[in-house]
Amino acid sequence: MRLTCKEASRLMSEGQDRRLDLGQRAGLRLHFFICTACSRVKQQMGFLRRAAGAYPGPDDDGKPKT
Amino acid sequence: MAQKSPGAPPAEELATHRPQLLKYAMLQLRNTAQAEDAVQETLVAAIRGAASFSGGSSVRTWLIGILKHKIIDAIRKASREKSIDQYEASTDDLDAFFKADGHYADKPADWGDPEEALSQRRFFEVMEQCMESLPKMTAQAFAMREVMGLETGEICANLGITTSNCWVLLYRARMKLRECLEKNWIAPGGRA
Repeated sequence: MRLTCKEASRLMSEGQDRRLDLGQRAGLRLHFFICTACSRVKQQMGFLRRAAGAYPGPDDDGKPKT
Repeated sequence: MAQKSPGAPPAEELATHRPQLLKYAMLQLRNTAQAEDAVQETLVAAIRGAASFSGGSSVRTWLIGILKHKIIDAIRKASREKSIDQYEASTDDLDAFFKADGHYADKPADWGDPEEALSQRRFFEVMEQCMESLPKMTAQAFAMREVMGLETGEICANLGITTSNCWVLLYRARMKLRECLEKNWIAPGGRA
């Protein structure tokens, strides 16, 4: 399965919400191997998840949340 | 009547958190009356259950834990009256990110190591602004998924939409937030 970046972006988002099937996972892996743009977007979507999970961020006293 | 534990915060102290709670609720509900109700119910519940405050987390974290449930209740109630609009249900608005051949119109930037952002208040302010720029149901789905950590099935049920609608909302949220953070945080000058 040969993916465009557009298709890959949608699949990698869905991959954060459900288990993709084998063909989809293989297609994405192959795509990341040849595409820097999508590899970045994948990492950035992962970062978005960590950032949202840390929302609302440090308390106003500046100390990080424990 | 429950015994008051030594660490239980007094009502006056709880009320000082109201502005922050309101901001949190507004981000997800986008409706002043609903947000104020959710915060009010949270403070009432917190005062009644102050003895259950363990002291293990900050008072704000504890209050937000209560507020999350009130927000979900409000979203559920509102979704019984309103269904998803066509704009949010389709991915047409996301076509602009791509050229006709499916490549990115603007190549996503290298963010380097963005993790240090998570200790900066300013970063979360930018993220709030980015979330406010999302369509309402899109922002709510994202907040329930990533801020509250709910599973997609539960989110669809709360919003009264199908699973595929849910995936579209989350896809839009991630693409638009990614772009917004890149423009407003990663871009030169953003991390000032």
